[in-house]
Amino acid sequence: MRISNMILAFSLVALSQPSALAGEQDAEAAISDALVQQAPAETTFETVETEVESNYPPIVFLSEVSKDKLAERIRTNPMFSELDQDALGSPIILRMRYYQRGTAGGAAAGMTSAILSGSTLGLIPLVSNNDLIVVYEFNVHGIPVAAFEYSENFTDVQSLYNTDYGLKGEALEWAEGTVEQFMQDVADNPEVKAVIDEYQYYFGAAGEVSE
Amino acid sequence: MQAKDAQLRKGIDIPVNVPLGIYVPEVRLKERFFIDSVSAWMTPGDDMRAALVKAGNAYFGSVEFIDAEQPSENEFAVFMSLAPAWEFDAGKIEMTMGYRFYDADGTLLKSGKESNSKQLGPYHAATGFYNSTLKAMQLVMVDTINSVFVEGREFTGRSNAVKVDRDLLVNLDKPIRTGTAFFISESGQLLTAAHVTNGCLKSQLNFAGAVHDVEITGVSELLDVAMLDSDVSTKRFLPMRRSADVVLGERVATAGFPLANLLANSANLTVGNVSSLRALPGSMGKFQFSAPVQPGSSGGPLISERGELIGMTTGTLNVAALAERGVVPQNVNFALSGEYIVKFVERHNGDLRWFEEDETQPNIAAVNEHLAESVAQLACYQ
Repeated sequence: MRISNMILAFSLVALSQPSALAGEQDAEAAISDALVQQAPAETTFETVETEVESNYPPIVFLSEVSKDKLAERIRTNPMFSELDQDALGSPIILRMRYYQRGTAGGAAAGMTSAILSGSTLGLIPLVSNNDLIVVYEFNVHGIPVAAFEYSENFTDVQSLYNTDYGLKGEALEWAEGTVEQFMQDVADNPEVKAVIDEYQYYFGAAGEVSE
Repeated sequence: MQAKDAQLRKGIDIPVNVPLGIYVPEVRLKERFFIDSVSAWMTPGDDMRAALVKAGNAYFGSVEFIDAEQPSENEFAVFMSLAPAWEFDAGKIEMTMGYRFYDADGTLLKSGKESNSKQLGPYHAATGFYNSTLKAMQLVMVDTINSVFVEGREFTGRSNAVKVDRDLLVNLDKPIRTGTAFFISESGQLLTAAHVTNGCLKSQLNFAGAVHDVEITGVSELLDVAMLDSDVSTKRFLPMRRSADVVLGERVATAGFPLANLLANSANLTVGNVSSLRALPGSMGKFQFSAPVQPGSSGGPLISERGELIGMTTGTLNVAALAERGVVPQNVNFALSGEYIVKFVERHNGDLRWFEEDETQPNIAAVNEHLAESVAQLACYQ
């Protein structure tokens, strides 16, 4: 059920017509292509109850780390109480992603470390130093509304023969911990609040539809 | 860093130390596309921007990018509106840089285009984009400086991104996207989908054989709807159904301007029915209908058999993506429900007309004719 919904929602396309280059594809199509590949072919179409009867909007949450753990914490803010992995028709998406940014010192040290590690056939491990950046992005129909960015410097030690990708240990713990700062920052963000207010105008209990 | 085949006139020293403003359409800076010949996704915006800074600093001394969405007050004495375009053939990038060069008062001093090609490979694509942009800009700047920087001419005026006339920046040669809009009153007010108008520096309506500028007067990204004002006065508009309800299975018609590069420039009208009162889980104010729609149909109206406005086309399922999984959805399309159109128009003090019983058209042909004459093609330019 969850996967079939994922296919449907990420396969939703807008119908404005871009002026295309030769060989051009839409970037969103690429994302949906990638997601579709994870899905079973026997997917069927189901129309499901859609609009959530709540004063707060259904919001899709995407995260590159610890999705369930972070979602549980974020839901404690009423604005995000309807964070729902199955509400993939929602125009509102909260996405947590991370990337690493090299530092000047880290690049020099990393080069030296790589030479040392290589010249000892991997006996000496690789040492790298980068800034880890975690970003929470709040988008409506793909339009960025607000972004919250946090960074921390980490030094990593790895074997030349056992390179491990992804966050782990202290870096993972720090990335998960950024949710607390995000919760404080988003609570006072006027752009996010404006979206919630607009939702309540159209769909909230106070916003009964007039004829 | 002068290009070998681009020589400045004798006596001109660079940088000329005249602050330069550069405008590049946002869609060009943020585009991402796939090139079959190297089987790779390309995002040339950052490399293009870096090359523009390099060339601008070398020839003019300083560069200020003109951001039309978030304009700054940083000053420039002259400015360029650029129209970069890429073509890819036989492992090469063909870069064409169209340009218009103005002084601070908005007087056009020079225009033209320069082209060059560079190698493109999957492992050095960024270099190819950077080098081709840099070379094209060297040619543009040498040509401009040779023509414009004559003895005795001074550039003492100053402008900035807040003050500059948007019409001088926008490239009207080709829209970045097209969609459909429809009239909701005789005063020339229209509705369309918000994703048609997003990021437009200028929006124009092609209606009844004439082009009209439109102003965006209200937007809801949440509902995906935008309101436009035009100078058109028309009796062909679509009145709203008085009841907020749509009926499961009722027949509907929509009109729009799909596949603008392929089909003749006249309204396409298709019919179907309301296939579900709901859309995808979590969607907001949408219902599902079956009348066929294509790219370019966004923002088109959905009407009942009597000619009442009941919704607006906003999207469809991605058939291509689903077909790769062995599933071919047929006419699963989505519209914003009329009740939310009403709330949106009220919120933005729009001019909506209600359907009156005496407006009922004599037959379906008259309904369809009225529908087709109430829609216009909307073009978005940057």
